[in-house]
Amino acid sequence: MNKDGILLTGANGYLGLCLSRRLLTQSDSILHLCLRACDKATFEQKSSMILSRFAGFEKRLFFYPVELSQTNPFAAVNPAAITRIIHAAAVTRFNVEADLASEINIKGTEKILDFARSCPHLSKFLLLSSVYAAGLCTGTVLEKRLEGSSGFANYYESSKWQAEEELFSHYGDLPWNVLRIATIIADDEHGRVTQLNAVHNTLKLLYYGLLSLFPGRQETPVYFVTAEFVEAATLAVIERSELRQIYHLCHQSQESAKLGELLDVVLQTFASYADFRNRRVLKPLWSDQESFQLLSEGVAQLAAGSVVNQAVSSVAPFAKQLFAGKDFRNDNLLSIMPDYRPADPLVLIENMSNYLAGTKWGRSVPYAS
Amino acid sequence: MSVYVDNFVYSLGANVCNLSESEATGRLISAASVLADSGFALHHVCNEEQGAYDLAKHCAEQLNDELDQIGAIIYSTCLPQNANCGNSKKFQESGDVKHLMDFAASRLQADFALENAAVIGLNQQACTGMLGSLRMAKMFLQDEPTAEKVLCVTADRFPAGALYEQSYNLISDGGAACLVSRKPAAFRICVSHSITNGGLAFACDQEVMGSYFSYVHKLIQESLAKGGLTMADIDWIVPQNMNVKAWSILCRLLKFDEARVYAPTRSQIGHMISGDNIANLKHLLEQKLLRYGDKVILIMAGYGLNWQSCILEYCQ
Ligand SMILES: NC(=O)c1ccc[n+]([C@@H]2O[C@H](COP(=O)([O-])OP(=O)(O)OC[C@H]3O[C@@H](n4cnc5c(N)ncnc54)[C@H](OP(=O)(O)O)[C@@H]3O)[C@@H](O)[C@H]2O)c1
Repeated sequence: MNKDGILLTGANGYLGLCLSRRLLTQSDSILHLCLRACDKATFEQKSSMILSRFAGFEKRLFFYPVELSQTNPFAAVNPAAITRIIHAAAVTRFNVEADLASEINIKGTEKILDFARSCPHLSKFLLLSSVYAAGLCTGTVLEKRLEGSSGFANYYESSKWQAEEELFSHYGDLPWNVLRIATIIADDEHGRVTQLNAVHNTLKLLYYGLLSLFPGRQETPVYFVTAEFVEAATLAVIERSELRQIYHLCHQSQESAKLGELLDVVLQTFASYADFRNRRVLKPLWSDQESFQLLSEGVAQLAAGSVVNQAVSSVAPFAKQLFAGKDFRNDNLLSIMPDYRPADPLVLIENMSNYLAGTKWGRSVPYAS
Repeated sequence: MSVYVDNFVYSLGANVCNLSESEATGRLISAASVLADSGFALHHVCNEEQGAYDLAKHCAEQLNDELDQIGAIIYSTCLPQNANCGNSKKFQESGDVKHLMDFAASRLQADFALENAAVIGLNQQACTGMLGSLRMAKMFLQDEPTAEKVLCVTADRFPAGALYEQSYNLISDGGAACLVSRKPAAFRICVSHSITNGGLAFACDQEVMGSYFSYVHKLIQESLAKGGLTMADIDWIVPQNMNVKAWSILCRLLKFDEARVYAPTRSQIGHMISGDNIANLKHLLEQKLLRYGDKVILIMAGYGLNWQSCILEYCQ
């Protein structure tokens, strides 16, 4: 990969940092890292944070302030220096507002795609998408273009689908790959969690006895991966992918836990912590969508600004997915990843639960913005 | 042996306040509009002269014609201090703890000349105390063959300066009473059940809310199982007065018709501590909505944390 120039957006995000580390240690590529920054001070703070993390690799790192809502956000980047692009920047909250999702996740993707067109040596464009771009459809989901006709649980999902559509419809000539990533619940199989997301927030509510209803069906598979797996799979795509292919960076349903199993393992693990056990928190009741909706409305009204409300409102936009069982296929990924090995899903969940309870939910993204 | 309950009465603090008045005087935590959306409108606060015992006494007065053959008084309070009519200042002056043992239940016995009544105080079950009293009354009658009736009373008045909102519910000072007897009356007491989770004794409002659904669901399931019943056997749920949405959710979980959750006093008296489901039950009786054989489940949740239920069968 000599003289390879990889442009990475969202570089100071969770995956951005994970992928940067991988690329620095496992390739010779020059990394052109886009950091979201509207002013010089933020830019310098973010770039020096990354430099300090990746000491020794300074010569292979270039930084650019990129705010996707601005016009021509990649003006400072020399297109001729870029051979590959990984577009990781996005607003990733499930409760992202429609306008913001459209502005950053869809129009922002158009802007990087426009930039990609101007890169004369571009050999690959990786769009980091989500398995939940599949929306609320049920049944088998192939590594193919999605219909989007079943609706979506939230604007995050719909914006990820629309970003894909933008690519397929108007930039199909580019050397693209779409990587639909499952939910990353831990850095690695040991269960360490650097970035807290809606899954971890839900478990926090459970641990503190703040959630007596649980939305979803027990038999719904939950697609969890580690960041380590996503890094390895992304590298496999960079090195071996077929152009214009979609890859599901997830495990198959039979390799994944069911929602009911998740809850059981989590509660069993929490039960080894005295402060949890002593509060005799009951297993939450399985609730239908409407009951959970009523609960989240009630909490939003009564306990606005509270921890419960913050957590419930981060879970609520995802709740519909827990009723829409899917069977994701990952055949394309398997074909380029000879060392593919799914983690034992229940052990991973147990390790993650131990990490969360043991560190009392640690700190969220300690090295990001 | 069957035991029955009837003669439901209640008494409220003299001052009626609306939500904006109480918001303005700092009695609420939530905004008045939020409590209004929860289904509350008015609440009752005792005036300076009214103590918790006055509320209990007023309840007993309403039952005066029925107070013969009382074998026991079971007097419950949510706040333990409401069981003492003594003056804590006198204790501070004298160091004599008898001022802390001027028991309301004894006063009631004396004021209504209930000489033969055993006197029992119940003050560690918070809002669920009245349902605890029904349970104990049934046990008492089953254990004392000569006793005919038990007077169950509950009365609470919040101390001056207290907030009148607990766990997102609007509170009223008030008392309630009823008679448990071996003679057939309006309802037969079928099942009493309680759960206490001392591990949540000092739960914050969010934890109270967070544990509510799973514990109430467990309470109901266990109560039904005890009586060999299913949810389909229950005709009415009479809850404490609380956020209207809570029962919408529970009804969905229990697959129970929300129209049969009966809490008509919610907007007018709010959560009258341990007595509001007695007030609701009284209205249910008066509205003649019950048919012979109907089963009614009373549900209360309170600090401690405590959850109690009582399944009644309408016998008239
Ligand atoms: N993590 C997962 O479980 C997961 C699962 C499926 C798919 N994905 C996808 O993977 C990609 C990376 O996810 P992640 O977990 O690393 O998310 P993340 O930690 O939230 O990182 C997102 C990155 O995008 C940047 N960004 C947001 N708004 C921007 C804007 N207006 N202009 C420029 N940059 C902006 C963020 O910058 P600031 O932090 O400075 O705001 C951050 O660097 C996303 O596309 C996500 O949809 C992630």
